[in-house]
Amino acid sequence: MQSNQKELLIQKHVDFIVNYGKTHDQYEYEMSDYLRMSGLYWSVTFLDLVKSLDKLNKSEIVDYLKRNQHENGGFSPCDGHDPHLLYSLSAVQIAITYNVLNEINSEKLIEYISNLQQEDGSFSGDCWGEIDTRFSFCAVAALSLLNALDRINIEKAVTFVLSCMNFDGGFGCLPGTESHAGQIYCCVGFLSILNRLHMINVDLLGWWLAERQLPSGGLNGRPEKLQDVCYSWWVISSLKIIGKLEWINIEKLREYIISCQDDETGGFSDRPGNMPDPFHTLFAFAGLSLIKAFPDALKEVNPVFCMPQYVIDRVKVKPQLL
Amino acid sequence: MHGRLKVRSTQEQEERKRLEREKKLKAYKFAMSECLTRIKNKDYDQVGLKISEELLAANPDIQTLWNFRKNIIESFEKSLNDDDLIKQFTSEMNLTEICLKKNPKSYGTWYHRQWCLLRSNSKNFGEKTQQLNWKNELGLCSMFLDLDERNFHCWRHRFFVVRHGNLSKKDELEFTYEKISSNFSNYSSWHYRSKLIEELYYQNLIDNDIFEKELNLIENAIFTDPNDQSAWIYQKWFLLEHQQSFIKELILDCSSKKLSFKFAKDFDLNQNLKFVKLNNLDLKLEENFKWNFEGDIWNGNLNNIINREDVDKLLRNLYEFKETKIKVEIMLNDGGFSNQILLDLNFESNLYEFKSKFQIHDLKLDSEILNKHLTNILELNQFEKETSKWCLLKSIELMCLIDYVKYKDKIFYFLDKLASDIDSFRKNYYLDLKQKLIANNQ
Repeated sequence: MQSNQKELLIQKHVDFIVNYGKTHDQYEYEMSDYLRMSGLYWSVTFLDLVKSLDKLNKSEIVDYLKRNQHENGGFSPCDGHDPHLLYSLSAVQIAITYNVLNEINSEKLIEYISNLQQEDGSFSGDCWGEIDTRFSFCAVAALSLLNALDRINIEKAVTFVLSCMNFDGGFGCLPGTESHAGQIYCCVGFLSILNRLHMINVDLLGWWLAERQLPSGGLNGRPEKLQDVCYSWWVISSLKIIGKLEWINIEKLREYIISCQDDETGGFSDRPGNMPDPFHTLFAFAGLSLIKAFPDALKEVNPVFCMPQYVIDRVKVKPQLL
Repeated sequence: MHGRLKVRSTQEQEERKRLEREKKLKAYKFAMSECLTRIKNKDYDQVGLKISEELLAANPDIQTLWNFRKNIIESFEKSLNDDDLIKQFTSEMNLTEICLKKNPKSYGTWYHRQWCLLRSNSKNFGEKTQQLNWKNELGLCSMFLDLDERNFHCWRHRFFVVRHGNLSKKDELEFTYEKISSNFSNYSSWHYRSKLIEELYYQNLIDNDIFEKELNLIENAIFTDPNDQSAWIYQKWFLLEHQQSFIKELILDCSSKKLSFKFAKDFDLNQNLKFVKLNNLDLKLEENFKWNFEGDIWNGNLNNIINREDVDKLLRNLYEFKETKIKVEIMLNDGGFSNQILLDLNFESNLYEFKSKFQIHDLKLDSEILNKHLTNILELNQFEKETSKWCLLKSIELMCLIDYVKYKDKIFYFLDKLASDIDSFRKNYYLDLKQKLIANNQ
């Protein structure tokens, strides 16, 4: 199971993703329908990064997008489920990657997202009021891709996210909560999109992030936790945005990511020897692309949006990088 | 899929598993489609609760089903009497507890619990039954933290309960002490402790010997396991706060372009200031620039600077967009590190302000305590034969704080050791730090 060789089995991973849910464990697949739209984004982005987007049926995906836009403008993860900001961002990312924004109702979506902003500047994930800095990122990322950042109160949004900053320079999901690499990615990405990276204490945060690298080369999401391929992405994308990627050992990270490759079935898992899945497969490749590990085989990834750079260039979005 | 080991099984096992799952899947799909039909038709009744309960107990992450239940409860609020409503909320608490036992990191489940708690307590049901009571809920948090002391969902829930239930922060501080004492490697507790101390200190609810007490606690932790990060990172915070407490007040007036400082001790800003940056923009002061000492405040006029145009532009932008924060970085003579401070816009006075939460009580005493702390860590460092990364790194930070000039050689020796030998993964961090220290103290 564990890969000792350093070869990257791209074709196997493409097959793994394309056939996921068909040949794969049907039960697992169906039980995860509540996050299908994000699953689609992971697959689409992965395939584009490895230059194999043509392996998916574009018109089926466009139909899926259209079918899952709710009358209030938001997107649901799958048929009949409720809309949510998480899946609305995934839907926008898919639509932008395929360059089919005209197929969805952008105006309605913009309205949906901006209506979720609260008085204190935070964003609720849906109409039921759960607040989280992840949702601040989703809102701002989606709106910037839709060229509609002027539809929210940016100052208040920034104030809320900064109120979640902690003593270690990182960010939590709400004011007072512990720093966490996933949350840091969201908040740093948020500040990058809004051109406010100067608010970050780069030395403090960069150091804390660099300390996430463990002797295996992989990175964890919080002190004294285990390494994981997806946390490796959250951490290095944040380091890249604040211009401190060289504070970790890139070669060791590359080795770690490759060791999480499943040579038999294709796909990547969180740690060597565990079950592979599309989520970790995307973030493994996004990581490899970010550290330019296989520049000929992989397209360049944008650290803020986790989408191919050429797509971000096409829509002329320029998040700030230090 | 996190932390799921890939296991090999025989063909027979595989087949049995497949059939079992096929059956489960069929039942799941049937029940799910029944729920989705009811959601679509806005059928809010007991049957919907029953079907969704079974589905959620098997898969707590289906957000749409929690929403469905909220809709049903909202419709019940119009028709049920208080006793029946209490019963319903109580059964939501039971269901979410079952679901959390299955998946303690289910966002939707924790949120549903919060929604129910807020809703039932707005009707004062919490006084009538234990399960909707805030204090009781704290018990549930403790139970889940016993299972996984780093579960950030549960910690988040705990903040929520303490805030809405208006529970004692001092008791919480004691709770973090217990947690930390039972296991020093608990960054979540240290984090929570930092937040509580800030808040209690600000409200004058904490004893003055906090400085010494915290350093003792930190020492206990790092002497127990010098390689655990948790206490060391907490120490970094604690010392940074201490370093900054020297700056009592910082005010930026954009309209009159005035920057003002108030310090906790006698200090000549004209002699000692190395640099000031506003949002990373370095203020290039004119050669004849003077900070004026008025009352107990040092004022600087930002018209008298070389890069005045850049600063004007920055201030104009702040004003125009009503940006609520500005970052001021200042480097004062008596340390290896700069201070980075966020100032908040005061909407009434239109000034950007910072007031220190911490105060130095007794400079001499604090400095004695710090020196003793450094001695202890250097001793530990010797004991570890200069191979403990954290001892090296933290003594560097302490030496910078106490007397950079005096310890300069040792600081650089430790930094080189870290970069070349002890922690080469982060070599570039140490090299950058060295460059920065040199540049900051030129």
